[in-house]
Amino acid sequence: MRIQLIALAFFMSAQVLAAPVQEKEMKELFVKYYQVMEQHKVELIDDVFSKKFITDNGGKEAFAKDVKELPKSSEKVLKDKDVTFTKGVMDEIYFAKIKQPASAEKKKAADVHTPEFIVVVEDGKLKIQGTLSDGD
Amino acid sequence: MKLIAALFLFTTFSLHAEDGSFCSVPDLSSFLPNVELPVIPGEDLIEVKKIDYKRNKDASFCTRPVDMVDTIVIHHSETPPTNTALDMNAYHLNRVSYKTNDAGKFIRDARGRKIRDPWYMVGYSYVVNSAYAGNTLPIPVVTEGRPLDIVGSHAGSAAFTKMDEDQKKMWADGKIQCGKEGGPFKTDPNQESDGNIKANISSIGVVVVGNYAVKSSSNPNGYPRTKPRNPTLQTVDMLARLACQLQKQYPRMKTIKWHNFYTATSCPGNLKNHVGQMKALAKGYGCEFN
Repeated sequence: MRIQLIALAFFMSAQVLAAPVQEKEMKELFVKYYQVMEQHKVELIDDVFSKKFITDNGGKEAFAKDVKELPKSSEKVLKDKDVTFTKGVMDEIYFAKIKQPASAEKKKAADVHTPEFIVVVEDGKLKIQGTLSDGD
Repeated sequence: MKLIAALFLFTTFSLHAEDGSFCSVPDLSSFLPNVELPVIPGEDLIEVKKIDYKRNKDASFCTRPVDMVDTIVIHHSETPPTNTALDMNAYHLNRVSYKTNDAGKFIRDARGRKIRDPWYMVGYSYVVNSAYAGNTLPIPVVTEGRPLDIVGSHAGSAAFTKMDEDQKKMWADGKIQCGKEGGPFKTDPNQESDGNIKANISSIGVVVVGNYAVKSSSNPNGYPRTKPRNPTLQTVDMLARLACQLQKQYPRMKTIKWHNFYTATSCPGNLKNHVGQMKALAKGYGCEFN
């Protein structure tokens, strides 16, 4: 009986660990992402970006400085339908797409594409690793 | 012994002829035994590293004669420049596209769901690593990606280009075949539409690893607005050498384009502004590109 209970507990915890990423978690990540990028809440950088991303961008301070040079916006409200994502075919990695708002600022040629974000799981939390530019 | 002597003489004279000290190679036929000599290739413009990639055996892909390719398409990866060809392969093995028809629209199953189409391997045919200005890493290297006779994934599956008469003949002759490893391969009518062919079939993708577009909320890895990032001369030269080397091997490759020529994207960022320079450098190596 005890063995059965242990096995059941193990099975349940394994299920929790392997639970698929929910849309809610992904949406929360991107709400924070836009708070960093468009409202300059740089104190959230560690919550949003992977350690690798931060290192690749010269460290937290340097990245925060670059972010503060971006145009500030308060208009961004991420709607439910804005985030779509797929899980990687082979690994625990996600590719997320955000539908861009059709404001005049976003219609600039440089921003016409829909970015494909690489999202990884780090310390049990979703973190953005960067973006990937590829056609299919 | 005779063979070694002949090879030595042939090699020596060939090398001298290359640096101009001899105008012609003397007739060596009297030295030659009755065997075929190995072909001694000309000096490569650039060294291309070859590696073994993991592939997704469950993914479908198309094959083509390399002569179907007339265009080299320049990309940037949008990732940090230190990512390797194996990193690109790892990303792409995780990617899923959705099958599209000859109008570029998604094909759906009986329940209206888009049909998944996982990637076979890295989508680019060549991966170019080269440092940003003022940096020493990564070490410059060109790595072969998806083999040239396998259609890549890079230009966008909804993009089509007009076929010339040679390409039309290759298509009509069933030279483009699609399937999975070990399975049957057949012509897929969705790859062609009214004399146009999917751009991935008539082109190869060359990616420069790095991010040459401005930082924005769509591109967090980009360069800061106050510090525009352009490719170094070395990077542009590597692309020119690679393009020219390809054209020398496959003379139908006469055009250089860039990703956002085909699809709405910021890719390849400022690399696009250097395509003219790339063509000029390639001309110096004896190649002409449109």
